[in-house]
Amino acid sequence: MNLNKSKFPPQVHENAKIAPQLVFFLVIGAQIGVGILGFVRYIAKFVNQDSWLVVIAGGLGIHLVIWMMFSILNKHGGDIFNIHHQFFGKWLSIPLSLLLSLYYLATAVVVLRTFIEAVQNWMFPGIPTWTLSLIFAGLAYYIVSKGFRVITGIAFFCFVLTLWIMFTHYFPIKHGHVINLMPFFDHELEDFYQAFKVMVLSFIGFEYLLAYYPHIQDSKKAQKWAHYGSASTTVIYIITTISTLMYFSPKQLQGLTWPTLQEWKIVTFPFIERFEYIGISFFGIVILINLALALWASCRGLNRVFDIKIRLSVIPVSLILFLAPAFFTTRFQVDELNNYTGKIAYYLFYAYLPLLFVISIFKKGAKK
Amino acid sequence: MKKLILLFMCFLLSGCAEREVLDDITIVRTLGFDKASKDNEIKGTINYPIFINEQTFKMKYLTASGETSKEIRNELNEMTARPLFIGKLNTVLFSAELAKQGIMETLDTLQRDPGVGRAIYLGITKQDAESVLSDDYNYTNSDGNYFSNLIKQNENFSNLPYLNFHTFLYAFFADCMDPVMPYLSKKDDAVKIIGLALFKDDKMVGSIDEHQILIFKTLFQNFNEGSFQFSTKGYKGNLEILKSKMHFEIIQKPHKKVMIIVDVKGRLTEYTKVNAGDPRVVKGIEKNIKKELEHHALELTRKFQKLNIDPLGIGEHVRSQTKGFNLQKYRDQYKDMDINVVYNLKITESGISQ
Repeated sequence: MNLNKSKFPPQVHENAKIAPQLVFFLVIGAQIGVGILGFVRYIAKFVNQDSWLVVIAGGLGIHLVIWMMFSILNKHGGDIFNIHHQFFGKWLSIPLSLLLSLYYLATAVVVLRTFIEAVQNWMFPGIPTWTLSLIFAGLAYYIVSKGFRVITGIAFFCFVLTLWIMFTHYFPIKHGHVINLMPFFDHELEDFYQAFKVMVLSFIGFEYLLAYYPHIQDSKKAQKWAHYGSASTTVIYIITTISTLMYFSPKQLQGLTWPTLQEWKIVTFPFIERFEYIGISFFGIVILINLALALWASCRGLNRVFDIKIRLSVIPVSLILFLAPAFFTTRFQVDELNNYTGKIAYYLFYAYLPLLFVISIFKKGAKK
Repeated sequence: MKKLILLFMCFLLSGCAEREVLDDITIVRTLGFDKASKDNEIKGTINYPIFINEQTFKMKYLTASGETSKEIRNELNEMTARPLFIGKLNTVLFSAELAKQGIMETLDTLQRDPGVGRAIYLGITKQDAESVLSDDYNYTNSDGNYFSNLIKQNENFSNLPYLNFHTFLYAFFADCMDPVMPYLSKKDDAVKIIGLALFKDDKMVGSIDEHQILIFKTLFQNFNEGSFQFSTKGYKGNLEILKSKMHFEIIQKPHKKVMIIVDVKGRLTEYTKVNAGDPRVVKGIEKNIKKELEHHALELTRKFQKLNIDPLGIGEHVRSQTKGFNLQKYRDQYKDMDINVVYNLKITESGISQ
């Protein structure tokens, strides 16, 4: 075994690469997950009717981070693991890369556990956690073991199959109260900052780019598409925020665990009286790409550091994904899990990546 | 091989969830709550269909008492051969007597149940909910949706404002708003909407009568259908409302004087003793109806201020137009606030004959 393979720039076979346009689906697919079911409540706690401003600010912040990411990656080539090695040397780079791998895995656990909680509360109160985590960890394993191009394909399908869910916001907006969005800017800056920090959790997902950057043909061209992807996510979040704020009164919103699911309670069609069951089921597709991509990125880290084939490392990693959700049993614990991951992501985006960016300015670029 | 294993897993999992076959469950259509004879107990009534054969079914009702609605549910479950299923519940009724003591405990239980929709209707009954639910109303109730259809059609095609479980919770949790519910009463072989029940928090504190429902609706929301029975000196008639739009202005900040402006477009569908083809006469009628509407509206707002409730959500409008809104101060001043109502009425047609 070749310890620290990340010394070398990544070698990806042309056949395993994807077109730069497809990064759009990877970014949007990974960003939108279970967060959308409940994030409005967390930001509204601080800024109430100004929440949508925070969503815009959060989206703009992410654009900045994406821009920094691409500047680093474009200049030094390769992926984050190789860049760790270039910047910090052999011994410091190993723990850093492993921590990043662990973080990727954690994001998958957060998504899976939160989704299972929603299913347990809304559809099957008696279902044990492990049955659902077995299905999803199994599916994620199956997708990841087939390689990165398959993941990209799944991302595309997730997007196409679930985009229509956005149209269900028509109903709450129709029954909503515009006055709930006013007056503008009626909060302290400190509140905005707190809400901004909480918002970061919902934008998690684009940072897998640090791992799959070498898998993109003509990687530099992908930046545009990553920005488009993140911008679309922001738009979807703004619509969600506005419809949630209009539909619920502030204190009512604070009492709801999953406002978006509650909104669906008003959506009725002649052929389906209770839409939320359809909605939750479709979210199974939405989180599948979250899980697959996070799992793959985590395995890719192991692959780059220890030279373990992804096909092999995915077995223990998906096993962890299968087992971990069962350790979080109460609402409070799931909430804490989300909070901590959000905090870690916040420091990753707004402290660690800027740090790398500053270092990259002073470091010489990769040899062409 | 792998695919085969996955396929096999699907079969294993299909047996996991509890199945609910239509014929094996009791589908509760309406819930009713009353005060029980014992103190701090409430009496619950359910109303559900029994299928006689494939086409026909009869409504049946059952009653049980308990301290909480869950306890009632358990009691009822012990009386039915098939488990109670609440997912198709479409109306919840409370007797006025119980509503005066507060109903949030009961509603909170329903609110927490993911099986209960938010588009279901709530109502207050003048009589005991049990007596309202026990009647079959000469089989008009045979499809089990009598109460919800009654409220629904009145909301869509008549004067009743758009109200349901969600709007109740919305107003209940809002800082400057109080909920309302349709007020029903049993009359011979039918149930009639006799007004709106007014709430302070979760307690019923009063009601407005059926003639005021339309006025309330114009001040409460925008809508496209309704009718107003007017009777000014000399003539009576009916104004069919085609469009009603309200907006809200603060005349004197922060919240001393406010104005509700309602733009109403309508047509005369019934009138006596006047020539409605003459534009001058129509102008005169317009003026009179406007005056009458404003008079009734002021009566309503004064009544609300006297009861110290705000079912129209005036406070919500004030909040949305005030930076640094001070809730406590607003609440203290609400009773003395000067509320003006102005109707801009436009009569466009007068039926198909001149």
